[in-house]
Amino acid sequence: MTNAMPDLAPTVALRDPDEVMRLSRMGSAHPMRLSFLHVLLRRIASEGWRFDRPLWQIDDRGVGRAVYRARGPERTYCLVAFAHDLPDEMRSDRVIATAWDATFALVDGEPTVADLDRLQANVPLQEAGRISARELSLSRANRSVRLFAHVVDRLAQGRQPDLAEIDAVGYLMRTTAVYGSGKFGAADREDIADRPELKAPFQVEMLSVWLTRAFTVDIAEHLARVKGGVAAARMEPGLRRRLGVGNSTGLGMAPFLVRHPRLLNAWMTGRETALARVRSLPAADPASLAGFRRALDAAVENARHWQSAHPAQVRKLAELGADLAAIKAHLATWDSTQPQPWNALWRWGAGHLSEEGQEALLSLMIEPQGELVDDLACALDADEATGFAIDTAMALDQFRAILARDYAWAGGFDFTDPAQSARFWYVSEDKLEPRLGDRRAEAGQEREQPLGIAMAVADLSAALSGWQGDGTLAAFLCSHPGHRHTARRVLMLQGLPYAEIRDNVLAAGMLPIDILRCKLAFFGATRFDPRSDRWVRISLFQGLPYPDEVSA
Amino acid sequence: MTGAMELSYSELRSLVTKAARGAGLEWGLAEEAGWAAEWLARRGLPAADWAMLWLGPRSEGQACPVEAGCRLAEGPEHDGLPVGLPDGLPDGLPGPGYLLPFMARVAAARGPVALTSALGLVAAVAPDGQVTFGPCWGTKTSGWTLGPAAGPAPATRPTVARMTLEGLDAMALRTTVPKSDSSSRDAGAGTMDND
Repeated sequence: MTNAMPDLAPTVALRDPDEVMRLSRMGSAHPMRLSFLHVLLRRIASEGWRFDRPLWQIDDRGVGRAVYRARGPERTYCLVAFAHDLPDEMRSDRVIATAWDATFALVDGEPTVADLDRLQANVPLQEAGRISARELSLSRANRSVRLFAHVVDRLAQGRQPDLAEIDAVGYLMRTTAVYGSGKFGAADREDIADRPELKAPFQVEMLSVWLTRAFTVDIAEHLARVKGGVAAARMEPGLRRRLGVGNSTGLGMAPFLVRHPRLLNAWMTGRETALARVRSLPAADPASLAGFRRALDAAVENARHWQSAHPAQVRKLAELGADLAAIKAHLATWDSTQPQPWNALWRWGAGHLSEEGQEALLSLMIEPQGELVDDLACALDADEATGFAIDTAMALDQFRAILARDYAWAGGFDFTDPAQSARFWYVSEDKLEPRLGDRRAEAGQEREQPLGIAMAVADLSAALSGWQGDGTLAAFLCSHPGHRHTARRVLMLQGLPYAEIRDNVLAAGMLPIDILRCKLAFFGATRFDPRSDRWVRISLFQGLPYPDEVSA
Repeated sequence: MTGAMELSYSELRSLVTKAARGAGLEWGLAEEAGWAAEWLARRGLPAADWAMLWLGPRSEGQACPVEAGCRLAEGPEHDGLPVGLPDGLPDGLPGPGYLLPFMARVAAARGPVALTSALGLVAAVAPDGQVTFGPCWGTKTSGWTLGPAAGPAPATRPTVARMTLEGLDAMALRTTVPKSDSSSRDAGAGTMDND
């Protein structure tokens, strides 16, 4: 921590969006202290939230319901959990599943018995059920069968689970979807976004998952007691900490960053501002130096446990391991007393590390600088309605100038090359989920989702070049309604440098997991483990406290 | 299906956006339809039912109130009001409730506006979005003109009749693509999760 309040205006410029917003770099993002789950946990600690479990009606088969209560300074939220007896043959993390080991809803306030009964009739059905404006999220989780059974067996015997088994998996259950923001009848984001505790992005979802993590341990200990009786053990706190909540996620999450550009800009601006502030520091104080070294050691340890079988991730993990070692070696010669020492370290990293290592260095440099950067958490949200109405009175020359200034990057792709438009995004009829199709081999491109921004901008530019009509945007759009979506986007995103993924999400070689990794890093996810180019498993809250450890 | 279902505002907006796209509107106009639906619903107005009035005719190629509303709100200013529809509102436009959100855009910039017919007031919209219906309100435009003018119901989440919901869902489904074996496989279908 720095001793004096720092000058928050960075003297070092923020990184260029042409560098930051490329998919390969976004796909190298690491969680950091502005990640949403860390924002949640800091607020909970600083405000002295209190937690308890007022209801536990789970039978000897592990079936029933429970309530986890979180009491903040102004409001109370409750996670209602339903535990089920799921046959192995029905256990699927894919969206095709119709039953789960456990299902959840986060209630705004405290549920009555009538609420619990209403939720019990709907929450276990997930997408086929309905929740109400009283609820903030709907989610489900499946057991990691092997580890869950191991933990229950060991605890039932009065023994602790095997450390290696715990570290090999890292969670007892993984969530497969956490729906908020008005989905399936839940409260609309707009109607709760003015609450301080929910202002930062995805705080509802993070709170729900964090309370779910407590449930995953409680249900394992419950079943161990049923099996082992009074001899059963509870999990040792140090071991328990090593368990997070797994998450299995796929293409459904990928379009989010394209559909929410103002939000993406806010996230990226927050992170890049944090980096610029640290790089601008005139000196490095002993506390932040020590904090940086601790964070580096933790990153090395984390990388040691971070496994993946996916070739792209195997390569990245090798780069990360080498880069973390290189950072450690460089610290021996790095002069931390030079002017702007963090900037010097960053510049060294930019010249010597892979993208994977550079983005890891970013997280490490921010980590010990809470006093300097934590205020940025207040600016990670965005009013996405701003600018929805198009200023169609604008002169076309002015519009063309904005397009040329803000979307020069889109001109870098040659859409006469079939490889640049090889894919199309669509929504599947059967599951209403985003999918990625092969434009030349699969049917359905006439129902393409408007996510290929670079190609849309190229099309818009071509249409503008050929337009001979009236000189206002109104006249152009009246004649070319197909470009209205792109024109709105161009105008909405003026002055927002990090709003667009400056890459082509339709290209043959595009990896959707790059988009997923960026978003999941902002969530605070660790152990990013792609199972294909299109879906991944990750862990949330691993190594972090439980509600009963932070309760005032 | 019978009965009705309560939707969140974001669900209604998303549904009407997709239904409008499914009815043939370009994405940019479909977004306007979704925005207009939420605007109406937040004022207690029957956005889903009104959408059904124009979505069917639109998919058969007829003019729709969202296109008319955009033109109305975005035309060049004349006598304090836009004249993006120089020939006035066409007669027989179904679902005219969807003109109201666009009138509100005009009202916010230039003061209250009203739709009138020869027989009197159709509807007026204040700069704060408050809507007042007159005795000439109907389900299709008929000799209506827009001009300057002189309280909304409390907002409740939209309740939508099942039949309306089915109709909108059917429209929305026209934005989707039947699954292919490769798309399902790439998304992880068929993998075991008992690990």
